[in-house]
Amino acid sequence: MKWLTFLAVTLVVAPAFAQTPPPPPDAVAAPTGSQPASNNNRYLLLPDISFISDARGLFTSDKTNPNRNKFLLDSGELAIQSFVYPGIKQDAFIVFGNGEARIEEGYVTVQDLHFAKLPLSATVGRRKAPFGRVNQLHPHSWAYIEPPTVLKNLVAEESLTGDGAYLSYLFPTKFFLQLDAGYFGQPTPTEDGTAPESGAGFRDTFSTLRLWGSQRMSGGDLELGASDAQGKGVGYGGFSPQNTLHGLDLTYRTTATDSQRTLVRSEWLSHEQKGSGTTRRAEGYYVSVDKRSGPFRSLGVRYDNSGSPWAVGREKSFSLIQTHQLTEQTYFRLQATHGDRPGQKGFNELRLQWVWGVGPHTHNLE
Amino acid sequence: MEVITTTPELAAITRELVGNLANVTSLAKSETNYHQVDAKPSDVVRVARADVFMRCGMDLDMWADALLASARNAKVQRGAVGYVDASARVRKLEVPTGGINGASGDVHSAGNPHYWFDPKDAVVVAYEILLALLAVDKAHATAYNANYKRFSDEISSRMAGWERTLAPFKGQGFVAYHDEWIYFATRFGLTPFGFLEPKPGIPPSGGHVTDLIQRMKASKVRAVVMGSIYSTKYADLVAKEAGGKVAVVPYSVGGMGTRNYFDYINAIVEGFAKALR
Repeated sequence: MKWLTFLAVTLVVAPAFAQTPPPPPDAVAAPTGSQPASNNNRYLLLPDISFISDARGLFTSDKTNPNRNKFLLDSGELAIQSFVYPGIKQDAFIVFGNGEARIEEGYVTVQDLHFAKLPLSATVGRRKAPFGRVNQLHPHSWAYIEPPTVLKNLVAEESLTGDGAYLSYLFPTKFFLQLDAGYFGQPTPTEDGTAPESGAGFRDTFSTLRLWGSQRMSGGDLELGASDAQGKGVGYGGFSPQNTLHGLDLTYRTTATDSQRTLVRSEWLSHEQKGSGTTRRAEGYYVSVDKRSGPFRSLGVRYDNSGSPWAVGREKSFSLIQTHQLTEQTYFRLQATHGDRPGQKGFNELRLQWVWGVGPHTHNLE
Repeated sequence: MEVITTTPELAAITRELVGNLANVTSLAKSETNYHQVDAKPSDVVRVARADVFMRCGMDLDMWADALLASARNAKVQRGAVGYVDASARVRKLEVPTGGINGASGDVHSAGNPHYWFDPKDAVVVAYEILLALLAVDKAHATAYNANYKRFSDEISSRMAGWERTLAPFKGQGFVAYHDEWIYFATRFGLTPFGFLEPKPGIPPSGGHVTDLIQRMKASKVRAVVMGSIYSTKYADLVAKEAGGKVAVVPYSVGGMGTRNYFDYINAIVEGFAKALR
């Protein structure tokens, strides 16, 4: 009978005992998260607040450029970021520049919609649209000072932005594959008859669709993306054309070792304007290579070749870009460009940039 | 079970606990500066499939936040049982008491985050990991508890040897590239004398290095210890001028031929002994 009791105890008690963690080791301290809230640590309730300044200089052979041979404080970006609820984050970016303050972005992201167990997230508010590889990046996160010509000519001077919402679906595949679908409106619709000088030229609302994937390979990561944006363009004489943007992008990034990595990126874009029996098309691309040789330095080259939906002729240029990083948020950059553009054969530009920042500042995945 | 860690050291400690019961992957590659890791879309997939996500914390791996946000995996979001901040129970050193700003360099508000260099802290980290494993995978609780005990016992038994190796150098000063040895030095009674970086994360300057050499000569400090990811350009100069030696030690588990956490600490202890001898 004794052996039966022993067996019962072994079978019932031992497994329960095994599931209990042992006492903590000697060197253990109280968990960091268990500090009581009091008046003295109300700062814990503060959101992440940061400020990033962007000063730029331009020396150019283009005598018509109003910023020629000037060094100006281009913008200051105040960011306020925090979770407002488990799984729900708000981000606000207020930009000061040219004597005015504006909300560049202000949105809420629901990281997991819990809809039919699908890995689906939603973003609502004013947001840089998920179109192309770099449209959602802020200027201080760019690998250049002056954006690629094709992006300025066909998409937007800085970024295609709107008030609206988009859904992101992460496919349950072995490699990264995500679909972003959005619908946006512009806070101030462009008045009919006002011809844009650059950009997509959407009059008011537009929709975007982006599918992008990434596969880890030996030595690096390969990323491919395809984007589409559609909306009514600025109208003339009571008729609004349909504007359509298509984009393809490719990125290859070598696996970083000892802070070194090489980033190769290219985007091809086309712009089509259909209306009143006519179709106007423009397209262009850029190819860039950026080599980070250590924690503080990188050197890049870029080739631009782009037409414009709003002007005749193409701009072709070659840029050399050098960055010296002081800290994660502070760097100096130099961009020297030589090329041809309509009306300016053999133009030369030298741009300088000094970006400095304070406070915790985060953006979505680069 | 899939366990994702931000650094190879956390992965190495986790492997000691899980054995063959889980796949353990580190997002940062071995011998990569952990302050400068590119969070990539392909990493999102790994985090999306993880049952346990383990990070260093203390603001060292803030790049992981973008991955957690993009992965939409409720099992490993902050607050979930599968989310582990390995620093939670570690006694923090060099916690700033005044304000921090750009003039301080890359100072972390929660304290110096390089706690894994202290083998006793590795046991604290292992305990944090154990609690997560017991919560996520109860079926293998017996194995996890046994593996934790084995890891803890092995650290204890090896500790005596490591202490014996470094005992002759107790109180001796050394120079390093980055301020990352405070936990190791505190454990073994060594004294960080100075750093090639004038402030954390700020590259060495001629003036600072010259001043450091003068101070080393005056205080008869000759040992220079370098993590294997840093350039030895300034270290060689400093050691030559101060009449000392440079010892390069692995920055990561996996670096300089190390295969696990014990190899790693062995190599570091031997490197320090070589520089201090």
